[in-house]
Amino acid sequence: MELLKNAWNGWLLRSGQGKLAALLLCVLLLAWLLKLGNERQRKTFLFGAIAALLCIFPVSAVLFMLYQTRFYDYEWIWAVVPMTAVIALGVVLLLERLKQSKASKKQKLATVILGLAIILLCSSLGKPKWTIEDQMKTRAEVANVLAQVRNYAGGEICLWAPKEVMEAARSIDADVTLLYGRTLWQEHLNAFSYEEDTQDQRDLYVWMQLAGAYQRLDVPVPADTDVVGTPPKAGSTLEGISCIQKAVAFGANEILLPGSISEEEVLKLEQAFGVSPVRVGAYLLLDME
Amino acid sequence: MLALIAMGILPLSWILGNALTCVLDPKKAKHEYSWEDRILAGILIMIGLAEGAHLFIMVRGQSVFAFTKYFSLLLAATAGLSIAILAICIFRNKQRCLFPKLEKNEWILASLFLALVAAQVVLLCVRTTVYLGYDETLETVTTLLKSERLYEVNPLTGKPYAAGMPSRLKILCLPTIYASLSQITKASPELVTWHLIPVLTLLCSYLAYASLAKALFEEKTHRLLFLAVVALLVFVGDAGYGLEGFGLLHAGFQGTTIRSAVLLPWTFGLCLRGKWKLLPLVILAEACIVWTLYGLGMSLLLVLLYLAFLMSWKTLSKRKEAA
Repeated sequence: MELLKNAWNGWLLRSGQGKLAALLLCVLLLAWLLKLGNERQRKTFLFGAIAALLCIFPVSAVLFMLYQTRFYDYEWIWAVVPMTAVIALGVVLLLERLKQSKASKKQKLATVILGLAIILLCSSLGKPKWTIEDQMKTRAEVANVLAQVRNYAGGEICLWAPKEVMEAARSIDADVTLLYGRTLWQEHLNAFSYEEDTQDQRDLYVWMQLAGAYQRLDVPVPADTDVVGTPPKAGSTLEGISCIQKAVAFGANEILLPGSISEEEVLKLEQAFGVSPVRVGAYLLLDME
Repeated sequence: MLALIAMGILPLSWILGNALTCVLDPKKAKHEYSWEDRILAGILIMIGLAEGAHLFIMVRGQSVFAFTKYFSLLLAATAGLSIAILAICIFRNKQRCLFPKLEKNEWILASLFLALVAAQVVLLCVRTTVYLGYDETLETVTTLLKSERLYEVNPLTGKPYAAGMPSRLKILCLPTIYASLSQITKASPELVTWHLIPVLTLLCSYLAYASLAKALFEEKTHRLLFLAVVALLVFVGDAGYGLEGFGLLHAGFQGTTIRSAVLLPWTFGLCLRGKWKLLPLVILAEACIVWTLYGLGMSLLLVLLYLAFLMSWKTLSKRKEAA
């Protein structure tokens, strides 16, 4: 039932997002009404229509989703629909029909411009919902931070840091090991291995994210956290000193804390560990070697 | 070095593909397969060879360095064999594969298409807008380059696997190919994975659509217009995850993008033209690069759906004729 629900919601979500599927249906409708194309082209339209219907109809969509393995989401079953080909074929044939029509040049030009506008309106118009920022800047910053950490570290580095650093660290420097990986906030990545994150790792991840937000060491756990798996109990307090001790026990020797932690709290760290945090970019480095 | 290899991949794949089509249809190869078909077939042969080398070193517990060695040897041997086959074919049939010649008015459409493609290539080269939600390719590539054996270290943490990873992921060869390319060219894994490969995927995608265009249209003008609209749709498809444009512009290194933007359009074109002999190559290539249901991928599903559709179409046509 859950898969069936996903299949139905998938179509609703998709039609709201890309709109290309709606354009496909429009093209198919026009191709049918205007009887466009030769036999091979009509086959393409009809096959596209059938494949699209199979992807929209929840029962067949479920079968497709099971076939493509449960790792992939609903949108991937649409790979079986030759969407781009059918739309492009429809556009070419419509333009050909327009060329042969008795309409004036102005009318033809207006129709072409309108068609182009419709296609462009199906795009995100430069503002995709899936915001993807240029990673170049972030990666350069993280690379700079890692280089500075390496200056302080004597030998091998086992790093514990805020999410944005952990996210890029391994792809920049494969010699750095991490206390946990992206599997803690990107659930799909868990399918790539049989490894399981522990509750301690989840606590440490949540603490690191909250310490920056609250600007202190002891942080209350809110009801909603972005951690994958069971989050720490809402309303409980994660204590900074014990979290850092736990991280060191797990092998972390270089710890990057959010730079926004107040000076009073930094003093507490110095007293607890006998190490003065060093400012590295936007972070505070605790060298625990 | 990187540029040389990037430029060499397409001609080399053309040689391999040409030889394969000669073997499949020794007398009819000239008319049966277009030059786009030959290049794409060659690329799939290379994926097959890479998969062979990848599995070999995985079983023997060797590193990417060994992969590069075995893959280069296999490729050199296959290329030599292909050249020999081609020479025989040319001698026997006087076969020549000519690239298209364009009329004056077709140049306008060709220029429009090429301008759109060039804009996409430039975007892929200068931007690093990569979608990483479902992906750990770059970490895997950097880890493979540091490891002595494949898939012994968790790429996300750098620590040895305790519980391991699924075998159906271990057999996928794309990260090994990228790591090997990075090793040969001395280019950074980031440059290879996030820039070079997406550009190649984009170009291969247009080859697949060019092949499909030949299946759909007789006139060159229509084919070029079709390709220009496809190029426009790639920009439009940037809107959402799972769309071809999005994959080509933000995740061209992922197996799923290669599948949906290269393998499936080509498969559809081959189905339309009834060129069934190359389809096993596509289906096998998909199993080597994407997580499939024990080797059963979307290409196979597309072929089966198309066959069912074709049978229904023929039955209905016969009934109509009888009526």
